[in-house]
Amino acid sequence: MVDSGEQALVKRTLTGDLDAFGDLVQIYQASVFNVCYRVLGNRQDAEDLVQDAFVRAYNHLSSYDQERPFGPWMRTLAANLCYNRLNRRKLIQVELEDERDAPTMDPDSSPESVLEISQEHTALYQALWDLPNQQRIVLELRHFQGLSYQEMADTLRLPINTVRSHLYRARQNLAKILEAEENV
Amino acid sequence: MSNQPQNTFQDGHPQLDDLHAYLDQELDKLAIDELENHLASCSTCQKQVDRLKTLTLRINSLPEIQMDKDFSTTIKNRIRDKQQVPRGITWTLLVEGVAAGVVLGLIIPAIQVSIWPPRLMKIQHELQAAINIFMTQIASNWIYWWTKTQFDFTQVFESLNPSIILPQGFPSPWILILVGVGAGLLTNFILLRSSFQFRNNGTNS
Repeated sequence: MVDSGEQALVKRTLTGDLDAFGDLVQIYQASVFNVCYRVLGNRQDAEDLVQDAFVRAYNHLSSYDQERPFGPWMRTLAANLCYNRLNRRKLIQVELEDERDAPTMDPDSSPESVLEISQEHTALYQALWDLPNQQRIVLELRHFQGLSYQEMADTLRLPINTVRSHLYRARQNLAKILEAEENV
Repeated sequence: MSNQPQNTFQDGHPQLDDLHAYLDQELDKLAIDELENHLASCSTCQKQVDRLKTLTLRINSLPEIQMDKDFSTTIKNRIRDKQQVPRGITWTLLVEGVAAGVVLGLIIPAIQVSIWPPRLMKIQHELQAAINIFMTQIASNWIYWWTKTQFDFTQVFESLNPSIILPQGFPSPWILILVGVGAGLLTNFILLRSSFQFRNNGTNS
């Protein structure tokens, strides 16, 4: 179901109203940040990517199907951008591990908004970041964005069998990593 | 859709990735029936499914990280800054395009067809060489700016990789860049060839 207020903001943005786009940013920036953070594993990179993703979304807003909700389109776009960034990073051989954060709250967060992240969830984040890029991105698209195999294949421009195989391996690896951590 | 089930069984059990596809609701009706029949009588596979369900629940329970920053102003400023750049470039392109058109359409043919007195032949050749250099520079500048207006260079590399946002039917930036480079090379070739011809004609005469 498409939110009519959100649809109006998109329409106003398309007519050149930048403030309307600013409102869309305010609505979705936190969820887009989370996509970037899960995929990149680094708060600073995730914050940079959020901005890049919204600028890119603005430039390509005409290709967005207004019959569908804006949020999933925006988050999938961000995930794809993160994936491209990781691939590029791999080309210049920067190790993700060197830049990883421990999953923490925003240091600027107000005290009442700070929630404790349990040890279990910290372990899950770390396990997620230990996965190869392609496996991490399919997990993101499947589990957090709810994309079907075909939609993932279209998004990543990969054959559907490759996507299926990445997802299978991602879960297998994740289970192994978690199991190993629990046995420590 | 094929009447054959999608599942492949090995040693009497479905393959593990089929169990994943089953839980993801990515199998067709026939395959689901076959798998469920098997699961009803196979505790090993049922355990695998249960394990996978637990893992899925665990992944899906990952909490979102709180983020209190507001990027809307920064993003709006970035968009505004970006919008201003191409407009300037477009004017540059227009002026250069008109200048190139005038030179291409009037001055070069005029110099080429006009008959200069033999004592001024050397000057004509020098002039021709200067025009060639000038045209080459304009051509390369034009191709550079034109390409820049078409794409954000920082995103060209990204578009090489899978991307969801290029509209369907939009030609790859690399094809357009190759066309631009090709046009540049062709311009240079034509200009250099005409320059050599002039030089040869001058030498022969």
